[in-house]
Amino acid sequence: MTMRFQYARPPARQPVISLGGRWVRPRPLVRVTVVGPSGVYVREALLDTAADDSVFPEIAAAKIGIDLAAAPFGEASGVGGAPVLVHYAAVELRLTDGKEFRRWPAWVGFTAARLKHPLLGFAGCLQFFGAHFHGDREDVELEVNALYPGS
Amino acid sequence: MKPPITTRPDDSWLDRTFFDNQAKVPPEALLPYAGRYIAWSWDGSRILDSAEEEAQLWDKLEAAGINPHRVVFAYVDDL
Repeated sequence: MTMRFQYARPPARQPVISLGGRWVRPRPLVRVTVVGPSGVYVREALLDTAADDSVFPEIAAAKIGIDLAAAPFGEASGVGGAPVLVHYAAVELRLTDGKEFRRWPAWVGFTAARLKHPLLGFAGCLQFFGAHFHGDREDVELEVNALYPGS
Repeated sequence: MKPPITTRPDDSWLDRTFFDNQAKVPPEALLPYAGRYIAWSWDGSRILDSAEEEAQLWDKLEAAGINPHRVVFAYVDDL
């Protein structure tokens, strides 16, 4: 079964020349839920095929009961950004388009760096899905693959 | 497919209403929030609050008595 997400269309202050003068920049932003021991964090995040890891802001970890004090750490990078220090934790991630509902265990990174959009990268997310980006319709379809560990 | 059963009351899933309502919000309505973090209502119909930093937004929501675990956080790019 496939989940389909319409691209977000953030407004531009001036016409976007490379898009023929449109006033929006379509982007594959989806709403993901991070489930921790004491709560959930629901966030618009970027499906980023160039990101090694799935990365969220550190503030969210504290708010959903994840203690990062003794967590393993490393570096993660996404397109256009310098590598950032991340602490890794095991969480449950959820995605829904309102019709299909998917949740799975994942290792994700949390960073103190200022993230405009959390990243849904290969580890923790895209490794478990086939992703089809439809530029014409401005939507993305995700379909679980054989590695998908969730329900 | 029905949403899986959850165990906590604040653990509910977004439903179709969120996506339908958010899609009705025109892009230009987000311009006042450019460069800021925002919190969408659970039904996607409106923006509850905004702040320059995400941690500030958490604080503002809690101070206003809004459950931050039942909003959708986002960032509005300043393009």
